[in-house]
Amino acid sequence: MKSSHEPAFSEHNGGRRSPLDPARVTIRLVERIQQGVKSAESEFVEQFSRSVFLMLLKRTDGDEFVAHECTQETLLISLVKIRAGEIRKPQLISAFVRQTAINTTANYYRKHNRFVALGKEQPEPSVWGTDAASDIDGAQVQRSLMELLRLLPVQRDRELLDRFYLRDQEKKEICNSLNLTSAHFDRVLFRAKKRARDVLRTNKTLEALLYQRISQKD
Amino acid sequence: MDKLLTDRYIRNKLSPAENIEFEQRLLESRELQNEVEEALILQKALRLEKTLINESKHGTYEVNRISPVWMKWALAASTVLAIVSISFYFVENAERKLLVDQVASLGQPRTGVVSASIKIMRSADSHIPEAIIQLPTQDSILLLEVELGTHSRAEKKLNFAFQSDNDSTILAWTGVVDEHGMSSVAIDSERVPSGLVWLVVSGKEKIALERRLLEFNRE
Repeated sequence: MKSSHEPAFSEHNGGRRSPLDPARVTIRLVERIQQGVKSAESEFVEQFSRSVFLMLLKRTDGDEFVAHECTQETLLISLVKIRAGEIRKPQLISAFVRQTAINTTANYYRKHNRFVALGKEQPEPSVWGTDAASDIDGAQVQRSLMELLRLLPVQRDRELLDRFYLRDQEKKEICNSLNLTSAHFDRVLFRAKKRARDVLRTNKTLEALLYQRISQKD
Repeated sequence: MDKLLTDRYIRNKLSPAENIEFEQRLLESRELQNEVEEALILQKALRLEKTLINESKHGTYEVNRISPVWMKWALAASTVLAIVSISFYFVENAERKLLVDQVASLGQPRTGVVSASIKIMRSADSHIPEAIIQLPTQDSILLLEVELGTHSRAEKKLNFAFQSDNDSTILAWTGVVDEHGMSSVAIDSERVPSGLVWLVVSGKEKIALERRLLEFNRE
């Protein structure tokens, strides 16, 4: 049985769409918000908060603070527009939320002058806990991430991950250079991600800190 | 299915169209959210280790990676001269001169620039704006980068116009298409109307090839 937190994946039955078709669920959700159903607004936030946050975390190059701020702003703008009946095609709500998130982030950077003057060095990509060293939460996040690294594989595999994620090298280039097969590359990546997932799921500190601000909003 | 799709997304290796599709799926799929989260956590951990190693070696952080995200924001920080210079970085040769002329023709000095990309979305030609652009109050330039549809890309030169709902033209200009199917223009932000505006793209026969809905808001 599915929990209430699991997504309503599309299930086709004899060519007929299931009532759990996510597109249909989302359309219904938008309609309920427009009808003034308050619980529908909470559902909307629950449905989109994590995904928008992850999208913005990637787009802000890992700036957790900006991603949180902009996620909240995005959800607020989206809800206001839905309430006002400005979303005339509810089936396109994901496209609307996505574009709102992008615009909100652009506005955030403009407002806060987080710019780089021409000719100056590029700022460092932020790392949780290193841009606010005095923050105790930051220290906890660091410890959690280092715990993940301790679980990661042997030196050659670590080299693979380093080249792939940090030095931006392509799979083929890495395999040639380290004399690896494509299958080995895939295995290393799969194992590393599984460990990341395990650490995230067993280390509640890391998970809680990651989603803290969104939870507080709720 | 591409096993490395999520990693290609994390590493900014998807094409603009793939990126849009991926992010829209990301908004709807919990499974994809888990994959992105795992990859981001892993990347963060590796980055943290690198930072700490460099810190211990040099007594300061040393990160050499240039962020594409920050490159984008560099645009927004520039004054007019900087706009022209840095735009060269992004804009193809054929468009350079046009953009320089456009900026020069704006006359008085400007203190800011708003860079906005108008990407093709699934909502094209609907009543949902493809982009919501926040404009500053004064003394700024709007640098609009428009991703064009297939029909428009076939044209060498295009006519662009901002039109209201009743088809009256508010502002018009001509532009060229670069090899990536993009066209850029620099506009005095004070000439851009607030609210919903249609961006109409037409060819030499003045027949509309595309109609895209935009929303401009002022702070």
